[in-house]
Amino acid sequence: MTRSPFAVRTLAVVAGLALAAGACSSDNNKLKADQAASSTAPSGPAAGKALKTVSPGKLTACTDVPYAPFEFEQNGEFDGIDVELVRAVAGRLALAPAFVDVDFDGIFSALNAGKCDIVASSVTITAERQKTLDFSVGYFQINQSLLVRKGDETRYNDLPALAGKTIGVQSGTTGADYAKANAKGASVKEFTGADDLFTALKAGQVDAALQDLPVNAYRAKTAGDSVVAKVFTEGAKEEYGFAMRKGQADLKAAIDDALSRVKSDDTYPTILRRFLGDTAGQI
Amino acid sequence: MNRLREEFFNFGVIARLFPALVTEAMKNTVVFTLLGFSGGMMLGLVLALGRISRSRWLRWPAAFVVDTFRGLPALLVIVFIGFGLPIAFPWLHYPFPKYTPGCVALAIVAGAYIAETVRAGIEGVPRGQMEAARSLGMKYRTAMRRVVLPQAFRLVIPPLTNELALLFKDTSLLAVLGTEAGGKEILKYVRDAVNHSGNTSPLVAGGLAYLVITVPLLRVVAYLEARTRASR
Repeated sequence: MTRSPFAVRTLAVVAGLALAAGACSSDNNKLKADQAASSTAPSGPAAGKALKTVSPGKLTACTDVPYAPFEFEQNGEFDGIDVELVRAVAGRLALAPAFVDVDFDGIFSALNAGKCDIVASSVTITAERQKTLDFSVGYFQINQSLLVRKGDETRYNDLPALAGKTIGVQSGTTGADYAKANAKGASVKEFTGADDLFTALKAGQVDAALQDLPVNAYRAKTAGDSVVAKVFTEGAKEEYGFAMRKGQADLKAAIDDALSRVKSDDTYPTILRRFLGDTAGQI
Repeated sequence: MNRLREEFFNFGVIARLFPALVTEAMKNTVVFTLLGFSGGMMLGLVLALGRISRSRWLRWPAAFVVDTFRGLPALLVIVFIGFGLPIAFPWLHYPFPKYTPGCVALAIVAGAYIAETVRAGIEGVPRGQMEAARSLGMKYRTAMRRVVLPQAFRLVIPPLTNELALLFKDTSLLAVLGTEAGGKEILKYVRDAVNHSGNTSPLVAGGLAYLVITVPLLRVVAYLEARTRASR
């Protein structure tokens, strides 16, 4: 999927201010949290080879918070699947993980401007993006799903049942493409952020939210006002990857290597189980 | 330098924005602005007359509404009208949901500002105008409508243009309520394009799209202003 949290604009503004202020306290908290995490990270085999990063000794990731369960903030610390994966990858590379919160719209500009080494923000690998960016190996496969208000799960259990109704999606996502292609007779309403979409569902402005299963499942689990009524398992899968500036062969090789190792050992399933619980196997 | 060009002036990426940037995005921005502004003018006029009324039962509520909506961020008003009210009152269904909640919110925000502008304009018309009209036997309403308001509007054209330009830009906030097929305004449209392409150039194109509309508008109003001044 592809997201552009214009999300809660206010949050973006706050994040922007925090970035502008640079040394403001909330940033310091995040940094502290990340340093704390990195101090326990083991130095991997790649430790000997000095990797050139924007801030020496650190692997800096741009991410757009919040997009639970992939990236969000809890008790002043960044958390989520992407965040934990970056920490694991940085640990394998003997680098300290650092995070910069950037609105998704500006996230690739921030990458190109050298604010970070990678974008770890549920970025789908697409042919379009590969023209201007490099991607790591994929690390997460996505199924689309349908989230409905509690009580509607038998009524709206698939797309045909939603004919004449309104389906909410996030702009520019594969979920949006899927809805437009397959939801015959329903009108599709686009939102910038998952949080706006969830509010619209609650407000009755849409009858279902069609988007990535992990995001819908996490919402159903944490908010309790909605249910995942359908998972679309057919069709082509899309995959998340870390985005990098073009032409950084060393960084890409190192990240790919570390990510592959993280995926093949215990770390990855542990992270998934922590954030997705029982649905981890389904996704 | 090359990267700057690639990232902000990538013509391949920009070319793909057309024609929808004009036929959809710019059109919707203009429609939202005009609907919001017309609503705002009506509301603003009513509130302004309330603010200068001799009855405190009109003056106080009008002042309350004006202060409240001038004091709130437009985005909050939009979310409140679009999501808050339907959550509070589940029976509430907006007709023409594509336009109504957003334009109502914009009209309220614009109306609060316009009210103050119009009030200042009315108060800027010399007192003697009203007194003379009344002494000729005109009723308050007639004197206001035929003598004071026409002169007041001449005074408020420049500040009203300001309101129009502000409102024009505030349409970019409406995307928070969700957009249906063909319903994106400029900013939403170019942000999505940035998102799709991973390139920042659409933002530059979007900025130009705003300027293409605002700059001539402001020039025309400046011209009108010069003309009305000459005729006085």
